[in-house]
Amino acid sequence: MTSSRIPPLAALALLCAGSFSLQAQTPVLPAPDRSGIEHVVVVTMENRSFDHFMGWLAGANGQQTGLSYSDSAGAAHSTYHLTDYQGCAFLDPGHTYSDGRVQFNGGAANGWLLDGSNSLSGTPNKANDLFAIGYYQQSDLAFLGSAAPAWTTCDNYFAAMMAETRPNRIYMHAGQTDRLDNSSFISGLPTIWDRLAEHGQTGRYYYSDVSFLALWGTKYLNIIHPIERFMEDCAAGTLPNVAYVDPEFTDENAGTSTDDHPHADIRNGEVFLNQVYQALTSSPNWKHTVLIITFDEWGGFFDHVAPPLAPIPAASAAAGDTDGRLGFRVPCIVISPMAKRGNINHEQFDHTSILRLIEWRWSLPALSNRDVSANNLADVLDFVTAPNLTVPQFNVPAGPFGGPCP
Amino acid sequence: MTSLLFATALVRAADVVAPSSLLTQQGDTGNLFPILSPNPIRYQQVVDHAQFAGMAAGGEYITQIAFRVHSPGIAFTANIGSLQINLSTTSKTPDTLSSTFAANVGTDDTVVFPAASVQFSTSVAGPVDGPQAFDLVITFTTPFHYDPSKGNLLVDIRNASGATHDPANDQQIDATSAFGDATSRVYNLGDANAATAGTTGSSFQMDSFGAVMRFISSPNAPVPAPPHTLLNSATRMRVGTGDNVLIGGFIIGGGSKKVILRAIGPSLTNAGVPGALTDPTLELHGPAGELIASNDNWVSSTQKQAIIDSGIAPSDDRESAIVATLPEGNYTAVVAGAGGTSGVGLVEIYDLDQSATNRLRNLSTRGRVDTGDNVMIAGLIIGGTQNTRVIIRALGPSLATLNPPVPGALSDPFLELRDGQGNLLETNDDWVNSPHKQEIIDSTLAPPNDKESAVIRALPPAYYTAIVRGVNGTTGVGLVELYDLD
Repeated sequence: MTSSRIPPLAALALLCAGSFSLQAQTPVLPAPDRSGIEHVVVVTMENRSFDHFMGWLAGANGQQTGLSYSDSAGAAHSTYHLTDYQGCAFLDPGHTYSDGRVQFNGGAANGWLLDGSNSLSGTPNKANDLFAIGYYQQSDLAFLGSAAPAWTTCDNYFAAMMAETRPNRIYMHAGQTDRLDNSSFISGLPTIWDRLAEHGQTGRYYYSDVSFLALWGTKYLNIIHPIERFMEDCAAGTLPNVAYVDPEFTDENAGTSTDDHPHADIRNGEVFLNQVYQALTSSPNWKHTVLIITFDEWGGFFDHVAPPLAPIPAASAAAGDTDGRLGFRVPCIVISPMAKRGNINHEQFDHTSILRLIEWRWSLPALSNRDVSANNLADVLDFVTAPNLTVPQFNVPAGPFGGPCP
Repeated sequence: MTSLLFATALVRAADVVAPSSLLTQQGDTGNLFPILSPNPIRYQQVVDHAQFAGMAAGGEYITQIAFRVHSPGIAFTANIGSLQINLSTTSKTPDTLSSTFAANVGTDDTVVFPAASVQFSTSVAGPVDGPQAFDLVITFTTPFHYDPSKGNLLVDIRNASGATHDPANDQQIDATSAFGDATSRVYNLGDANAATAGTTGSSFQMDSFGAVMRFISSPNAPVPAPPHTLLNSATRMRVGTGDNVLIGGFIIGGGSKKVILRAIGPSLTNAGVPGALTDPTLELHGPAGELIASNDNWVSSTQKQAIIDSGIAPSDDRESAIVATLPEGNYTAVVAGAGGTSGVGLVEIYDLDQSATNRLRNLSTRGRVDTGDNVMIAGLIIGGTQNTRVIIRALGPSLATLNPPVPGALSDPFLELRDGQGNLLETNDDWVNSPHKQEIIDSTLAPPNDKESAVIRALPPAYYTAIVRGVNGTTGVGLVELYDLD
């Protein structure tokens, strides 16, 4: 079995997306049973774009300095280094379906300060402030600042759609979405959890404070477990085939959530990621595990690459997605004994590429026209060289950090 | 311990692991199907005939199928409320099964394991990278004659209840997902009686996956078991020293009989039993009390091959076993700790020869009844095809009246009978208050003392547990006895 490659429409969009030259990559995947993959663990943080969080990464298509964006009055503002970890002085940048299209600005990807309807700020018709064009440097990120250069980082990985949290996270579970915003009605979409169960594979969702799978009502209660169970399963070697691990969502205003969503102190997110990393890399399951760390969407923070288009699944179309525009790039780090070390991968991926990997490995039917056509994230792995079980350790201060914004 | 019906008339067994490439390494993935599926499932798996090249010309009788856990993992127990297995010779090949189940089934379709509840316990004591032992074992009530030259083997499983796990950690059995190998599957998740494969999305539930299976076969036709059979007794309790060692008794009637006795200790730790005996020893005594055989560490026994050939060699090298063909009479098995050690131990007696009228008539165990995990727990397996009428007795006070008297006898025993799933079937404190008092008297096996307990009933073929404890938490030396009344 071979993985699908970049679909023609997406490839065309990618070529039109920016000046960066895509390196030719011709990954050859083994038969899934020879991949050595038995566990896929996905950690999804919140609301950070690639340039904003990872633009410093050498060899990656990132830009932080030297960019300038105009506000609604025509005044130009340069991107700049953020010097606090919460951004309490700023608004949460807009990142709704409509916000994203203002920021996309017809493909110029320069509308970061033009947004006139910051729907998440509580102050309609107020534009994004300068938080949206700030960035963090390597030294600001105790975990990702070390993990990204050490492992494989994807610099052409997009959010599944140009919309906010729930549509993107639903995409991660279902390969499509039934809403364009953060509304709370119960979803009836089939998910990767159904696919796994129907084929005798195991899956578990681990939450830190709030279960995202509650959006499916009680359907998945038997696979929902607290984060402590993840740590126990790592230690016992009883990880399921697929695990999604989510950080704390609910204390953003207190500054202490671990999801990196403004106005959380991002150092807490680094602590959380390092805890997951430590537990997993010391697990009896580690030898056969792929850990994927990504972010649900760009959060309204600047990124210089205009997202391409992708097929629109039926549910997404019914929900009102009219253009199939992917969300702006988000960080994606792949950590595994099969992952290349110190590698930057430029192939186009999005959240449905994770589903594609899972489906490829266990011969599961696709959930929509998105995951069936997405590039397989397994493409970034090295199946030729013997698995490298060594694990670099990172110096991550324990925290907790931050506090309520005044 | 895997508590399943024991094989009939064992001879030196052929042993096939399919796919054979996974004999010494585990498969590339774990999978819950078919036996650990939490939901009902109809499941067919084809195994290429070439896997059975080691069989005798003309085929052999497959008597047992086994699965193993996919590493790593932890010890667990699984219960299946209703599991049926059919075997047949199919013209279908791996990766070409039909989505219509009947189209895959051969004309020699045989129910080898009728629908029954099954319990598995596995210690997952093997290497962290596997492979684990094939200790999820199902022994067929009707062996299947399979001739590889006639076609491929179809394993057709109807798991009507789904399985429950304890702990509920979703551990999987070992499986292969390779395309083009020696096996593949088709299934309907949700309906054990389905006629066609289920669907996932727009796809049929069929793929190149398959459980890694072990098949045990014999070139000789097994002799059918008689309709009523008391096959096995196993008693677990705290093994002390002196008068508090574990003593198991049994009676053979109607002629000589081949049995295996086992003394189990360290492997109980893997099953979650605290304070297990670390190194049990075993003695077999004859009707006059004479020592017939003894063993410490079955792997050091001169009978090692016979023990292996029985199919139920102990899983820990420090445990003990004796295989013996014994004439009619009363026998005693004594389990003690090597070097005077103590702990929770298990004495087991299995019937290896169900071929004729000779029968295990009685199985009994004497030992100290404590509280909590150290009460006396006796397991029994009823075989055959029909109900077997038994009486189970828990004795205490009458032991003090023996000559010589047993010191510290339990003053007031209480008896529970449970099925293989742990469901309580019946209890009795004082047999004279039993609603079946007259039946007990008529059996001529009424306990000597009114304070003692008895349960009399006909039991269908299955696994059962009798638990003896002291009323109000009292302790002492007790005796549990099982008599075959048919």
